[in-house]
Amino acid sequence: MENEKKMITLKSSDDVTFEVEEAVVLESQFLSHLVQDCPAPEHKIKEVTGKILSKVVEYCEKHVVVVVDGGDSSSSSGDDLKKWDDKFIKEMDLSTVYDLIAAANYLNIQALLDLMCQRVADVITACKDHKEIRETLGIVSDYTAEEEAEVLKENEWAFD
Amino acid sequence: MSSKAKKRSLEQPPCVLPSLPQDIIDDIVAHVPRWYYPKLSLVSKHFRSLVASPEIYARRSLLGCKENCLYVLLHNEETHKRRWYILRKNSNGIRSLVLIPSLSAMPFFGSFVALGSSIYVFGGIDSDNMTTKVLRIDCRSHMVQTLPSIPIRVVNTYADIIDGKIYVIGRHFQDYTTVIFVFSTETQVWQLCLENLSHRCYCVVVMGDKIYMSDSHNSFVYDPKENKLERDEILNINNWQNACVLDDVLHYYDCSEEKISRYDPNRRCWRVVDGLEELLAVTRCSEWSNIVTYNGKLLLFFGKGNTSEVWCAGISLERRQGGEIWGQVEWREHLVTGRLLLDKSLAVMV
Repeated sequence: MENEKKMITLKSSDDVTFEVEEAVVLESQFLSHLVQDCPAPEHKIKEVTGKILSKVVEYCEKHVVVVVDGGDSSSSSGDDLKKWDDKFIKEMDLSTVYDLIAAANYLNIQALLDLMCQRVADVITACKDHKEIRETLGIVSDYTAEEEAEVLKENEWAFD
Repeated sequence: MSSKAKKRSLEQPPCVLPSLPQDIIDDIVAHVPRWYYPKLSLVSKHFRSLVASPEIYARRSLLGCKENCLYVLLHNEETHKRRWYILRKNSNGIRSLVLIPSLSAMPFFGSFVALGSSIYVFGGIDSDNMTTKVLRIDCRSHMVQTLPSIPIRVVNTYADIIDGKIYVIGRHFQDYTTVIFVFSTETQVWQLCLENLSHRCYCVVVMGDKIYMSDSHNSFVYDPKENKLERDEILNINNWQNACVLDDVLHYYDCSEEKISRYDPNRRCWRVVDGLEELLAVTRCSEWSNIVTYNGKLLLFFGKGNTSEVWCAGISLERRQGGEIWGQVEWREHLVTGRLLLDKSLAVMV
């Protein structure tokens, strides 16, 4: 059985190669089309570095739907996957999260993109106020002091 | 590669959200709970316009990130004003009712329903005058829009929803007969259903596709398809009022009997919710109490008059063998302080 699985090699922008099963590649809509249109054994992905592509491959390998004997489709159980996802995103710094968002967007892997957006949203909600949000996300305020005081007054009720 | 990354981090902050495409930033904001939107609006002008934009709410809907928010209308006995509050749970898990300052006071004796992400307000008494005004509060922006008024002057209005249409029941201001109208929020057109009814109306709920109403002596069912009003003798066994509906079953709190009763219109039977004796012994002594449904649970609001505190208990229901219904108090918390009474509560998807 193992030998029958079609393997595909993905090469990152910095020439790190990953050999994965075709089913793993199919998690990405972009790569699915690429593999169909161009049946070469190796595909270079110029926009994604080795560091990020290894994360993408790790995610897709975990989430790939496995066709078991008898034709039933199954993947890891929902709870297990959720636990795995939580651990996967918790260990990541924001800079990696942004790179992974860009990669998931480019490779069109909606579930990974959603997971990463949720991770940034969690980081935002963990901030105690707007100043901490700015600092964490690298946003420069364009409010004047008066404008900020005005908006603060409108929204004061929502603060702890 | 590591030297390149290091160089980049020296030139600019390593984690810069604005470097992502706008589409992605929209997705991230859509994933943030709505409670944090006021904080986001203080981050920059761009974020302020983002959290107020219809696109974000469309995105929340698409991504399944919409939240069911409980809006609570509280009557302040000192200012004699009715203002909207939102039930919120802070990061420590503590619940409170917070005033929405941008929404002005609501009319007395008006009726209120939630449809989509809006609250609709019908009639009532506004600055000492009877009004037929209809308002739509967009709960995404808290902007208020005026809609076509109720076609005739009615008092004591009640409103509820069937199939996305709002039915408004009220008493004619001259002869006090009851009239039933239907209002389409899509076409914004009013239509008269029934008029010259002698029945009075003190409480209205919708179960299935019918409207159930009661005065102090009788219970009636209105079927919009047949446009007919009929007595319901079994529903009428109890003098129900201030009722709410959970899973198409009517629930009301009878404080004199210290019980929560439920009426199932399909089985046509009444049943008492067991297991709440301890809670109801406390709420019995309260100045006022009101039961509502929210997120598949019952919420029993009650006022502690001596301390001017509004409290609430969250109750989950469980059907046990033999069909008994048991209530379990999941939480009981002080939500807000002030001489406040609950007038109405509505769950709105935002």
